[in-house]
Amino acid sequence: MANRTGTAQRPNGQTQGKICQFKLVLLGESAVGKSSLVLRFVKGQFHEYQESTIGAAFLTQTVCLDDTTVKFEIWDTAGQERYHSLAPMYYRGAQAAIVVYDITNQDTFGRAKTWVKELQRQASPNIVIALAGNKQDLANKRMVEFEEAHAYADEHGLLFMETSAKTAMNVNDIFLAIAKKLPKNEQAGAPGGGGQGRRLVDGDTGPKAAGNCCK
Amino acid sequence: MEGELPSEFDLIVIGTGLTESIIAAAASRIGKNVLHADSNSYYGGLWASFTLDSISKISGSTPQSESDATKECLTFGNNNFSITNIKEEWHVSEGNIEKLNECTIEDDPQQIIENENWTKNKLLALSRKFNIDLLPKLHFARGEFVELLISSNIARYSEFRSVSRVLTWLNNKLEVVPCSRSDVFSSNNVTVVEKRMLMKLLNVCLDSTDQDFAEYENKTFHAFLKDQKLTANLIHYILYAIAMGTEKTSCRDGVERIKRFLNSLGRYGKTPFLYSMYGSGEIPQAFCRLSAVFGATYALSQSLQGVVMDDKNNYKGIMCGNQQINSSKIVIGLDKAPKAFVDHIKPLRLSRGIFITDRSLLESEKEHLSLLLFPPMNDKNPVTILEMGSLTGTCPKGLYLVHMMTDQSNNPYDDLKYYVDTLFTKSAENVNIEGGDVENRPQLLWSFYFSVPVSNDFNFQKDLPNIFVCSGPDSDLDYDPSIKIAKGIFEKMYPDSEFLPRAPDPEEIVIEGDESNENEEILQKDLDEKCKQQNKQNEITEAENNEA
Repeated sequence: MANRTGTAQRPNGQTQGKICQFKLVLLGESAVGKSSLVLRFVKGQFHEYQESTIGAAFLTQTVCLDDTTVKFEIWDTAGQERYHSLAPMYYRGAQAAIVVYDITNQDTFGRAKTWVKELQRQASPNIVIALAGNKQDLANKRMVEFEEAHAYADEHGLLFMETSAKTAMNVNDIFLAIAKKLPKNEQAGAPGGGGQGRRLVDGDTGPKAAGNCCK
Repeated sequence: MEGELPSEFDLIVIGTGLTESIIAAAASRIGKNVLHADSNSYYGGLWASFTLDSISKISGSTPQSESDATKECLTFGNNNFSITNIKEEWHVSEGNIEKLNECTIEDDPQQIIENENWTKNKLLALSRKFNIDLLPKLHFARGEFVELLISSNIARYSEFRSVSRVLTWLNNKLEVVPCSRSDVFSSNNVTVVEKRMLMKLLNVCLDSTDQDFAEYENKTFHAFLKDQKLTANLIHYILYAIAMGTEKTSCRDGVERIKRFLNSLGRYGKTPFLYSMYGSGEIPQAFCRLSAVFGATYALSQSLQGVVMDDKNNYKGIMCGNQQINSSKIVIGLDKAPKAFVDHIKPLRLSRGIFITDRSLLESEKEHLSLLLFPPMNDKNPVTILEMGSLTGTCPKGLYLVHMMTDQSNNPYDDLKYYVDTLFTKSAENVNIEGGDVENRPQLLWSFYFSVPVSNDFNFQKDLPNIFVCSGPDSDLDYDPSIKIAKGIFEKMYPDSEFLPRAPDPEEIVIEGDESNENEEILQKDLDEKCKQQNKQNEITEAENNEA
């Protein structure tokens, strides 16, 4: 998706500056807390036994940085990762990704590394990737050391934080860090990068067909 | 495989081709519990797109289960609906493999483009930049497919590119077909008189009703055009390019096609057509995504054995590995259907050719996405050709991907040979021999031929209660027939339900609202606070920098 830039109007008519919209995808093994992180960030909610979010293509949340309003379009996997069936279409054109693992489960960290590799091969070359070690509230059952993950993230140029969707620790922070790192100019979706195609929307009807050709 | 799948569903859908995926999405959308499974490791079946190194490994046939004697089931898969006649050719040297990992190429794509000496290893190193369609499709901007994407809100998942020009082959060269009003007036290929004639004719077609053409009931569109005293050029443009017909196309069909074309003009871009970015294989995935978002279970790479019937020969479930999974209904893609369900169908076949070239067929300042309708030559069938560059997300910068498709009469290689020889040159050395136009022809770097089964026949349902076999790809330029079939099957299964009603926008979604909004407000405050802090910090750093 192209980085859609526009100018926002406040109710009093004052100009608020640029609005940038970005597609952000969540990746990671089942049950590491991807949906919980999104729900925490978007709705401020946490449910211990979170059912998958039925009916949500993606959720949106806005953060303001300087004169720029960053609008995230946050895509969740909709459970397609459960039997290793996540469609490549899911991360097409994404400008940002959060790869999530569970700090109490070493396997999920290994799987996270696979996702990072996949993103670096398949997604836009300038995608901003953040690694989130979730379930920090369960640090007493930790199986993945902070230093190990930190070193891995450094080596691969990823943002890194340990988060807890349950206590809200670092949840807003990780999204903010991504917002900060995203390029906020119109060239962000330059050719070769992901997506600068056309989205089809209802209102986008243009002049009536006949008029265009035959009058 | 991670754990077992649940053992009971409302609906099992086998195969992730477009028709199956539309049905899966529609059923999940109305709350049915759906299992959507495929034996392939990728989405899309015969509708999929592939990277350069993976396409040569395709074979359309579903691997037959080895153990069908031991299982009491009708084995999935048949040989009627598989890809055949695969022929791959490299027209460049092997090249040096050293230093050619993908990273160096991505670091400096310019270097690759400037050094035009393409080799096989260089192309294979860029393999993942290719999304090569088995069967590329275009979408009429006001066609059924685009309307369905918008009305169901699936349009959110995909991005599209407009086809930027329609080409034809006229007087031994490529010409841009004037199709929009501004094209007609700016075109150098038609005279002022012709411009008026063309506009008038198109208007007549657009405003016509069936009665207007009563006298041409049993005549061809070509005969009608000739009677309008149009020039040969205009007849060519209208018949072959705008109506995409032949001399045999009936007048009624011709007029309908003109209407279909004109009605889609002016909505998006300069031509009536859209193409999905990253390839047509994205489209089935978009429907699967909607289906998953509404709770369907997705499982690729499954060891799908066959259909289980009960002792009264009614549908019961499927065998997946050693697990039996039951459902009240099942939908099976044509290519996965057990022989007994489809032995009465004889598929038509399309001859396909896919080519990588080093430049556009008709070079221009900007990169085009072109549709070339090649009129029938030497008693061959007309050929539909699509040329796409890097902006479509289907090939790397500096290269073009060319798709050809035509009704199969002999085999793909022979069916397309004339057109390939006319449009391309096979090696750089030949360039100067024939002189003239030959120099500008794109050089072929890679060719890939195959034959793909198409099912244009709608009436292939056998009378099998609760078992629904759905069509494979067809030869229509757009997806209209697949939508019709998917909708038909859906309505048979769930007669009183709405087909793909609009999915809610993110803003409309309420999530288990038992908690008060208080939390949300606190969090929002925290977020705003953090933003402010961040901004303040930025200012300070900036100030420090300035001082320094």
